Amino acid sequence: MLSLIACLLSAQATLDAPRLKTLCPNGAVVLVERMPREQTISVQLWASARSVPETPETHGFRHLLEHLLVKGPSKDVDKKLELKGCFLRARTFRDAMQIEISVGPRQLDLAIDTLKELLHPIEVTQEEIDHELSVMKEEFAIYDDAARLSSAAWDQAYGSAGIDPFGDLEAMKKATPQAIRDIQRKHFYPENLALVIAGPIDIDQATKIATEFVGGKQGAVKVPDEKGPDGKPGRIETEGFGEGRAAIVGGFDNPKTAASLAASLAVASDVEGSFVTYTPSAQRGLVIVGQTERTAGIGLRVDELKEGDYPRLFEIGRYLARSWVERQLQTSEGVAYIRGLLLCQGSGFRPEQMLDAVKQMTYDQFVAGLHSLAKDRAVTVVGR
Amino acid sequence: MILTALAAAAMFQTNHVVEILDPTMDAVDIEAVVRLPELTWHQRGLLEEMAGSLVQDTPTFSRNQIEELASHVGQRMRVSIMEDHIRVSFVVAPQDVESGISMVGSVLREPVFTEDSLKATSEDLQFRRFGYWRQALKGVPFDPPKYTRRDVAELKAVIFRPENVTVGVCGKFVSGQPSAKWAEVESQWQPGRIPRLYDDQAPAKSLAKLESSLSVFELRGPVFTATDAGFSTKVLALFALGSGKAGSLFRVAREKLGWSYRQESVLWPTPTGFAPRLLVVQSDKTDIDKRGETLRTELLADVKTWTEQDRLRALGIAQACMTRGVEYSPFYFHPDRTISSNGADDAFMAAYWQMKTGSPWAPSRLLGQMGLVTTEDMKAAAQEMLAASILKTYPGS
Repeated sequence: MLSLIACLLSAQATLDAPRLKTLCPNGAVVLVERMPREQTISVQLWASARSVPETPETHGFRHLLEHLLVKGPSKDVDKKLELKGCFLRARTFRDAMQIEISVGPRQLDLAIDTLKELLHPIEVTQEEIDHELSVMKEEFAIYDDAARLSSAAWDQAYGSAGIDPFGDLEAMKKATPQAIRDIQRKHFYPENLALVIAGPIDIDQATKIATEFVGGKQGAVKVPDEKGPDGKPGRIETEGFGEGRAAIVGGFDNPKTAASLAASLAVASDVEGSFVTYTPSAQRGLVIVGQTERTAGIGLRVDELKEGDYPRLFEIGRYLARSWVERQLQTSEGVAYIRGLLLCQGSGFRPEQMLDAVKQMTYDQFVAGLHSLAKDRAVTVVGR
Repeated sequence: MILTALAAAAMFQTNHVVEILDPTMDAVDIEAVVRLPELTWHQRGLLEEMAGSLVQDTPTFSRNQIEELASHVGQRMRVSIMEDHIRVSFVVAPQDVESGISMVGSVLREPVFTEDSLKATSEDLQFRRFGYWRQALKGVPFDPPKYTRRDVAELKAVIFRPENVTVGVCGKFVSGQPSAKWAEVESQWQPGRIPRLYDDQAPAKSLAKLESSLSVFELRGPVFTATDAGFSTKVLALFALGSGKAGSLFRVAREKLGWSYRQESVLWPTPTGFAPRLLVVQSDKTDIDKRGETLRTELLADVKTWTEQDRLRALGIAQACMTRGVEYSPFYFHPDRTISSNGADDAFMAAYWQMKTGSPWAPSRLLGQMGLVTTEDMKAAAQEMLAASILKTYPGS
């Protein structure tokens, strides 16, 4: 209780109705957003990966931790949640790990209690690790073509700094219970955490519960963000079916990133069965436009663009990019996702920065965004 | 959203149009559902080509005009086909609702199937590679049919008729406007007599293997209809078997046997009802027949251990899926995904359920019926489903 009071007294709270962000003294961030029309409360705990960079030796330990962690100490977390119509989902990204619990109105306590359970130091045996690796082998097998294309594009652009968060099954075989415990401890340092609660909740009450939970955790050493390498354009082939182009972009709030995203969405709207992948990040990254049902189309479409196409694509791209961000902000899951993802990378980061960049995008910036997909500036990725 | 939306929809429902007003949306979803009868193998192949060629120039609108309207919200008109329906989806800006409905109406009322467009679609369907999941769900290959112009004209006359079409509209519009516009479309629609289709008796082909390194096997239960007395019991049993991470399928195929990362229960529409299906994906293609039988045995054993907790869990998931749009629903009413809760799927479900059952889609009523199902009845339904299931295998390449 003492830690809660300390946290609340010294918290730098900013209210931008109906949303309250709280910076806890231990470095954790809590954001609560009231969305009274929503049927679901989304509680998402985000842990930045800045303290646990992937290395060839530990490549995939984070992902393995995610699998083992979400079973809970008694291995019955899913059953307990589903019994009440609630669900847990976890994902490992390059920048962070996400643990999402979706509950109905008036079930916030259940979500927080579950998260508390999950953050106990993990107890796991070698046998359990080995069993989970057999499941992850199957997960890797169903890794879809879009993910394979994306992974290859990251390899080409950023080399070892962009390795896929899925991990390397061979490296993961060397994981021990102790190594998993170490990764958990470092990944969940309080200053790495952002807890976002969105949905039909009372802001003050939810903030109190949330800050008591993450604000009370012991602190650790602040790990500075490291600037990653510049991206390298080029061509790469990979296992899988399909093809794509990846624009090399800066941080999520950079106007050039917004332009590349809008350009990719506009190109994709012209090619049936195509996809666009972008995970907002404070670091350099990729905006990928591709397709997995055919082996040609996206690259051709980009290379054959004429100046006469630009005005129409500008309208579509700007609309789609704006809608993409706004759509995230319309559901409790979307809000908790995008705000949590950004907040765990920096307590000042907000999706509105990205939205502003899209809204203020000029025609010339958009055209430059289209050019960022050109062969000599982008990564061309081709399935074989 | 769906409950409030449908409460409003009840006020604005005609025989063939369901309006769901949602002033908070900045676009309008128009979903037209075309009922399909049971078709022969040959007719099915031809209809797939026709569905893929629907969005072309019509006598009233050029394709460019349709695309121009679509570009106001950045979405193209989309067409998908299932065993029991064709779905045409069009998203338009609120000020374009009437034009959008006219265009959807034109595409269905007066489609022009040229040899070139049918040939292009046929080539696309042959060379396009869908993911393993979609291939397995469909379960049959696309077989380019041989056909005459007369076959096309007759199939068109049988399928594209006003009485086969139900339209759902969701978003911001003036109440009654979509219904009035659709009535106008119907008034211009003169489909003529229903021809008797030629049946060439060609046997259906099955999918010999997936174009993927992955293999899938499934237990497919007997088809049942929404008007069956046991509908809610069977659907609840399907939730208990294969939805969520504490369901039997997850427990057995993933946790106990370590065979698979993806395993799901599916409620699959057929022209005569719905087929319950349990699908398991795996990287190993050896012995999948044997594994299918082992799965059946293990699942039957697991069902025997079900308690009241399993019933409550299934009910909890069903409620979350049907009222909060949670993604674990087995309602696979689309070629490769379940129905969720957004404007497009809300409009689709409103139209689809009306078309399929003659009654409005009322999730709360179905949930109420599910709530009355006892654990023993749910177990019996699951056991019956598993015992009567046929094993289908789709080995990887």
